[in-house]
Amino acid sequence: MVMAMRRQATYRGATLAGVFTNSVFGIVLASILLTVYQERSDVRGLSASDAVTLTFFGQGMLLVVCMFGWRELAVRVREGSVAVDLLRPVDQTLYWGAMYTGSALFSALVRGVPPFVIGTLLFDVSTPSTPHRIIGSILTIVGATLVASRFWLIINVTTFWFVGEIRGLLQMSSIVVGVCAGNLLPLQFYPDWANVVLRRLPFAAMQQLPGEVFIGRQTMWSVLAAQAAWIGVLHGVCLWLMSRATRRLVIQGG
Amino acid sequence: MVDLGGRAYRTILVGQLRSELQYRVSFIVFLASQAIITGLDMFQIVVLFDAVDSIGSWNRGQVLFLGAMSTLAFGLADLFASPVELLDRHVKQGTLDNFLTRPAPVLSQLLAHEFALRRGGRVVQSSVLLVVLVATGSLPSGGSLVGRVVLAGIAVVGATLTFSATFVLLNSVCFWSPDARESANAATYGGALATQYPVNAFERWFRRALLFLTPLPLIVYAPAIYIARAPNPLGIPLWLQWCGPLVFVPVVACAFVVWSVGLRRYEGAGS
Repeated sequence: MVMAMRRQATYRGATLAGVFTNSVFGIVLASILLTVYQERSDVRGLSASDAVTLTFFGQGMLLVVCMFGWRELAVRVREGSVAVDLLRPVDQTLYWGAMYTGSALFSALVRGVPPFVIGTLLFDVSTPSTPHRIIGSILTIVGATLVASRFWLIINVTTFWFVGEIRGLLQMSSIVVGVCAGNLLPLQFYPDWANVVLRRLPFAAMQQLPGEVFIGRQTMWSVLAAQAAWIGVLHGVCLWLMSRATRRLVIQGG
Repeated sequence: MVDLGGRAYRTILVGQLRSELQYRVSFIVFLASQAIITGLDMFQIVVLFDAVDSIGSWNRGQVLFLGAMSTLAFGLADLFASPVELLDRHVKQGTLDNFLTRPAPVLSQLLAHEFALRRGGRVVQSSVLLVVLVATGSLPSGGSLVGRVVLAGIAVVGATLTFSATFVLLNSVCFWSPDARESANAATYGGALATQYPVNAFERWFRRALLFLTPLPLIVYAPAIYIARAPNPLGIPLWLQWCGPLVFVPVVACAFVVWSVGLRRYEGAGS
């Protein structure tokens, strides 16, 4: 995990550029949401200030939920270098989970906090003030990273079966994550029936629910419970797929 | 006459297209999924209109029309000019040297060399939406039909050129710092997102900052007022709606100068 963090920290210019871009996107998205609040004061209980806060929270979470797709394992499967990984005396799911978590938490901190500070200067943003909200946010963000890492790991493991189609699969997954995790818009903007469905899926646990802890609309216990359940289920699926995948793996070129 | 590399561009482009279309299925899948991804912007507009009846007193049809027009222009620029985004890779790997040895302008070689028709998803998606909007009569009638069509044409061409120049202008930053490439996204993709909504709906400070930093919102928004028969609370004069698209002239000139300065600064990879 520390290795993955160091690797991310090496590219300072890129990080700076990313912070700038995230800030601009946060400002544009927040301004778009505010156009709605000129017509009404709340959307399914979400105030203007809440919506803006969730927008900047979401910019920090971009690389936690990996809106643009995660493919590190898929790349190694395709190249065949996964064979070397499998020789190492570490559990593959844990190894890649740690790599994912390290770089995701690093980007949440470095690329998420500065845009958020800029957001507080320009907009009416509600920053967590009570200990419950602060600790709850930290814990649920870590939980979100673990859920998201299992999800992307499952998608990546399928590369063992669909080497050729992985690009399309990753793109489709990104769309689903963006819409269902509440990254495109807070879930409150979707119709009631969609809320009923989406809140019961693992994607909500990746961003929407931690976001609600952050703005103080959810207690951390219910969110952490949901995340723990999803981590358990997804990790089980992951282990099962991985064991089946390694049994059928054929490396070309020996 | 200055050689802008038109012939070299066409030759390389045809070659690229041929090789791309060899993989028919892969091409169609990528084009379709890109259309869906970029369509999320329009999906966002539809979802927001679930909560309200108007945004900045524009109704749903009008905002969707503005969004589709902006997406069409941005999509065309994305298709033809965004290959310049790969400049950072060529600078880092030193492969830009290959272009420098050939007797044609580097920019047109780069744009043709990295051209990919499968990136046209935005164009497909927004064109379909525009046709649907017009066919279902989602826009109020009134004004001269010919005038509205002509102005739409001018606006899309002007906006495409301005977006394209923005791509080149900002990605030229890679001649100075190849790592900073992502910052260009803020203005290109972020700017495109902001142009999909009526400027008058934004808060005043944001509107001013936006218009101060980039003419992009104006070149689509101003003509759209006339074409979509939309309310004009900011009182933008009619002449500006017709001349707005001409903003591309200074932006293109600027992009050309910055690119040339950057290219002259490039020292090569020593290969």
